[in-house]
Amino acid sequence: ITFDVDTGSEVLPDQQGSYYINDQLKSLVCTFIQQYFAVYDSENRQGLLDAYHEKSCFSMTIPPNNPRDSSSQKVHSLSYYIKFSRNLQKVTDIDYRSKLLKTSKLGVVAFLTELPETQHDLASFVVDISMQTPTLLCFTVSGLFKETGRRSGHPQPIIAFSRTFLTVPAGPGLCIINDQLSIRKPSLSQLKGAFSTPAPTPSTSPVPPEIQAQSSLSQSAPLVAAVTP
Amino acid sequence: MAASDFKIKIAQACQAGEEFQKIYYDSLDKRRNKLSKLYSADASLVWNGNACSGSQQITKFYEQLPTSDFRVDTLDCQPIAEEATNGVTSVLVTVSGTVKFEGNRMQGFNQTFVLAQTGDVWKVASDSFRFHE
Repeated sequence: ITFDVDTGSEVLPDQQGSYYINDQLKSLVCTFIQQYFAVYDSENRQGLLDAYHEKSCFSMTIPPNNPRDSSSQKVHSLSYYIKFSRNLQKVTDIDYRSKLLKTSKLGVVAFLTELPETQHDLASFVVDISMQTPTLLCFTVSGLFKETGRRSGHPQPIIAFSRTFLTVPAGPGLCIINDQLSIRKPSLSQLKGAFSTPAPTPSTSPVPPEIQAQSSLSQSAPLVAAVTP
Repeated sequence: MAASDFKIKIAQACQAGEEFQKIYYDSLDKRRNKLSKLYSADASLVWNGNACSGSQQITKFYEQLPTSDFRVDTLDCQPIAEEATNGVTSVLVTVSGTVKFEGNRMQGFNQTFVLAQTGDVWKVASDSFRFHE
């Protein structure tokens, strides 16, 4: 990509939507995302065991110094996650850095099961496939989710996230080897558009057609496409 | 892999990521022509959904951006299992922070890198960047 501008330009390239490389990968990744978050948002995250490799890792970060402000957004909901944040700029002890990295499918899923219940806003998702080789596929999903558990209270806190999945092929699907979750306070414009589409809808909905929330019937289904024997 | 071996891998990954982010953002802010050496020849970049590949193209892309002032707020590094990389030692680096490009407002961003060991140096195999919101 080149730009016909002088140096000293103040123009940034336009922000584009999701980048999938090609249609085949788009289909593969969107199917994975639909299935993954259907289980993640369900009452039982144990179904995620099928999605993770034996040698998988998970860690998460939140920005330091979340400012308190007078908006109605419950800022304190982010501070719940501080104890899990593996920000190497703040955590310097090697033992603690190891502890905050969850490993093996059992370790990862056990941890994920303890995180607050969620509902992800699939209509908000932007996906970037950053790397593809015969042995790995790496992509980052950015969007919004809200906490829906009783502990989270009302109004349900809405959180912005970027989540990178580094996966290996597994049968017709994908198996996660690395999972990194960054969460932060959403912007005002993100909050305005959040969860504006009702849950599962027919083709008249404005939800991007490539990512549709799964119907509640299939939410309890295991991630059969992503099993590594 | 023994627990102690894995701990060493974690420490190595963290060290790689910490050193890398210092060099990378310093180069971006002050010495963009130095960026090409950080990328492998066939590296890929996705920048707010704009894609390009190869260290030369990627450096050219960055050189055309306005002057930047990056602040890193979070840094996280994970070792990548060799199953995924055909035996090449690799690290997943995730960064978030803020950036002010000349003539534009300050914005939050997230950036993900895959670093791969090439000889005795780390090179960026992939770079994925998105503004928040």
